Amino acid sequence: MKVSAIVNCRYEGGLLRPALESALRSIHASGFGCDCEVIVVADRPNNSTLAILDAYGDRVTATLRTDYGDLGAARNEGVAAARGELVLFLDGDDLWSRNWVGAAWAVHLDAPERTILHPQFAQFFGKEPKILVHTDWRDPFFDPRALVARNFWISLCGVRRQALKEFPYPKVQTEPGLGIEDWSWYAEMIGRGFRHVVAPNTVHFIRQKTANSLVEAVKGFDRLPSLAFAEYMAADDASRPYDL
Amino acid sequence: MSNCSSDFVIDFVKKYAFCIDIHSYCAATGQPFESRANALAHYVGAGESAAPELLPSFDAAHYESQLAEGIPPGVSPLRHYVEEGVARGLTPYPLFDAEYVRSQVEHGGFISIFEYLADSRHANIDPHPLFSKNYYRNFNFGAEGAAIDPFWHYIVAGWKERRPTHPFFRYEEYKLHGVTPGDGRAAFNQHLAVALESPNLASGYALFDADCYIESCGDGQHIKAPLQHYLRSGWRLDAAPHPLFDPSHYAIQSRESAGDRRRINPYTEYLSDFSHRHGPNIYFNPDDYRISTDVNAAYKGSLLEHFLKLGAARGARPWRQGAMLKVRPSRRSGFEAVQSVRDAAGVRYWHCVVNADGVLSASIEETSEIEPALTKDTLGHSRLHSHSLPPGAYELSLIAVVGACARCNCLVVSDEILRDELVSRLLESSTPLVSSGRPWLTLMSVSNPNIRYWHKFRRCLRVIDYRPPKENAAAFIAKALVASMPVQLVVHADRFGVELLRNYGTRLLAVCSKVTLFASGVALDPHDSAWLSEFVTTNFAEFHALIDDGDDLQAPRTAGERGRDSFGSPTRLYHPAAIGVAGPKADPGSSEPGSGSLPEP
Repeated sequence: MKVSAIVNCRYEGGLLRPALESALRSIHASGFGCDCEVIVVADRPNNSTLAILDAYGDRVTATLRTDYGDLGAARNEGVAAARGELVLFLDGDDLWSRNWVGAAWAVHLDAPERTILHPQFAQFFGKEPKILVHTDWRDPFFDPRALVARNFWISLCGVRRQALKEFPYPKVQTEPGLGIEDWSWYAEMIGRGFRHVVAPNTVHFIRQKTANSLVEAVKGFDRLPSLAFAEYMAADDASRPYDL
Repeated sequence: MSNCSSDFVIDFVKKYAFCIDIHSYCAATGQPFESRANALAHYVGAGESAAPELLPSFDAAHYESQLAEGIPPGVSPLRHYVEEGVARGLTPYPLFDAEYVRSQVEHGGFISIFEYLADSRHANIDPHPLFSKNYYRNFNFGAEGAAIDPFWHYIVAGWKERRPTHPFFRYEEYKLHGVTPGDGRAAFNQHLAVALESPNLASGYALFDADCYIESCGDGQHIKAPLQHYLRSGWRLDAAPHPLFDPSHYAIQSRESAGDRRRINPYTEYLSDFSHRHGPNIYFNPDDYRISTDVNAAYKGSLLEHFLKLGAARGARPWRQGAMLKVRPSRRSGFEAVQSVRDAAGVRYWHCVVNADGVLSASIEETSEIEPALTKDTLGHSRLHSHSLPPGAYELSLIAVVGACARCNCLVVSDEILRDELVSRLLESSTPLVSSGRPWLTLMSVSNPNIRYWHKFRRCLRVIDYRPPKENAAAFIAKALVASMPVQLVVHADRFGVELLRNYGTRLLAVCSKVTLFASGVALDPHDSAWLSEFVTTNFAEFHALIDDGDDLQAPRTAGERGRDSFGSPTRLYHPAAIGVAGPKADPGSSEPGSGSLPEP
């Protein structure tokens, strides 16, 4: 199987419907058909969210009920159940552009094994809309060390399933919506040699929350420092007197 | 006085009485003239030797410098100018350009400086390409200067104060072009005349790009003084004075009439308008720019100038969906470079906008079918998320500090730079801070912000300066320490150390494998000392060691005595092994550099 779409949800209620529709539409547009699956991980969902899921029936491949209260752990649960070579994450109130699945797969085929895929743009909508241009590792102005100060990417990424099993998301007990785990995980992955690559002309639509992973990124790193990233930073500095 | 001269005097006084400064002339000549006519008659009769104070707008020497043949004997320069020089387009004042004025007046003939000053129809006509009445009024008087004639003010008083006359002629230009504070009117005018023609005029402002201008003129001609060329005539051809100024875009915003567009240089107009209402090009929105920077509403300059002087270097953004990048972005970046510009420091920037190329709008349109909250307005109202941008100054500083400190063997944080003997005592303390394989300390000072690598035997090896933010340096340092995850952290018990531990101590103790407190006789505020004592006592198990020089810190003596010890009683160097202090915590990772060579505590 080529692609596993993992949709994480909790209290989304009716907002889950457009998220699932966007995933199904993008899969359909890719033309992969049975080579794709949709796994919904409902982590401590409320009734209205469950009602939406019931309505989708077998249009989604599997629905997992978890009791973590933790997005990272819920994602890992989805990965454990996934069969696709490439895992694409979607949060239950966000949306993919129609071309995301096909474009991500195309980039994935040519990318190194340790690659994290991102859409080219994240369009935040709702109150105070914003455009986030995702930085590709190969961009001349990209400095991975800046991850010490901020997150560059939204959490909706694409990663090889095997890599996710080797480097699962950290479990973070935090208020819903903060999503600091992806930022810390991105830092950890850079320390582990992963590269961040953008799929051209793709968009993810992010519903504005009172707080999101990018806004809380700096706080997040304070809470979840990464040893691998610290060592990456140390290795990058040639000025130290290691050669005494 | 002959009849002929008498007629001239009477006629001149009748028309231009306001131009005659009889009081200054009386003072200069020492004669008590009763009327302007008498004074002027004396002035005309004296010829070249007349005291110049009578007519501040008439500089005989400047006028004569334009006459190759000189002035015939017995003819006063004033009369020569009025009767002959005006018709030839000559000028008696450096900042009065007869040709420039003629190009603006409706009848198209030359007029004298006196006619120019006397006729209210010339109120909105600038006397010289480098004298903008709007600029002079706005810069010097603001809203209260509506009733002041800027040019006359300058002739009478402004020149003495070296007031700026134009966006391209300001305080700096006087100094740069030889005007000294003691110059009298004659010497001042001489220097002024030279300065106005200097090819280097206003080169420090970065508001005029000579290369851009010459290229936009298009015919490859050699232009000796491009700025003056532009201000005199080039602007009428819509030649570009700067890559970031688009005359047609400005004209659309300012809604000038076609007549005004022919008469007013739009760039001078823009640079003279301090209301910050208009943008210089389609990608420079004044509101967006002001949101992204701290420009004061009372800033006496254009936002373009603010951007070139300060904003670009600070990462300010003139367009809500734009970014200033020092490197031209690649095609895959999602950005498209729309402008290239150098700021006042000569740093080149690419003004880039989101290269949606229809992708975003098309995606929004097709996704709106399933998510009605996505509308056509979503894209138009969107700002560029700041995380799309390259690291700013704060982040670069954080990167530098973390790069220098990350996973170092032992990081010592101090407010001031530690004296050599203090560093030596740290190195020789019974607490093992260095190992045989890595015998150096990494020393970070905050008030004098630098990071030093201090070798046990070779002493200081390298100094790295960094720039913490002016406000809340403790937060910055705490962030750097948490990200750096040093193997050992030593906090100097000084003013900053107390602040650091007070606000971020719990976090630091949780992240760093070993934390040591180092007291070296720094006098602490009693309140701070008490707090520190309480903090150490409360978190005793988290501290690896306390090192005290015996002056003002007393560490707990035994684990059982926790909570009963205090800071304040002198004691000897603290030895951690004696009290069974908690050993180093296990590192969260397994690949700790240099950990294998650390001696056991």
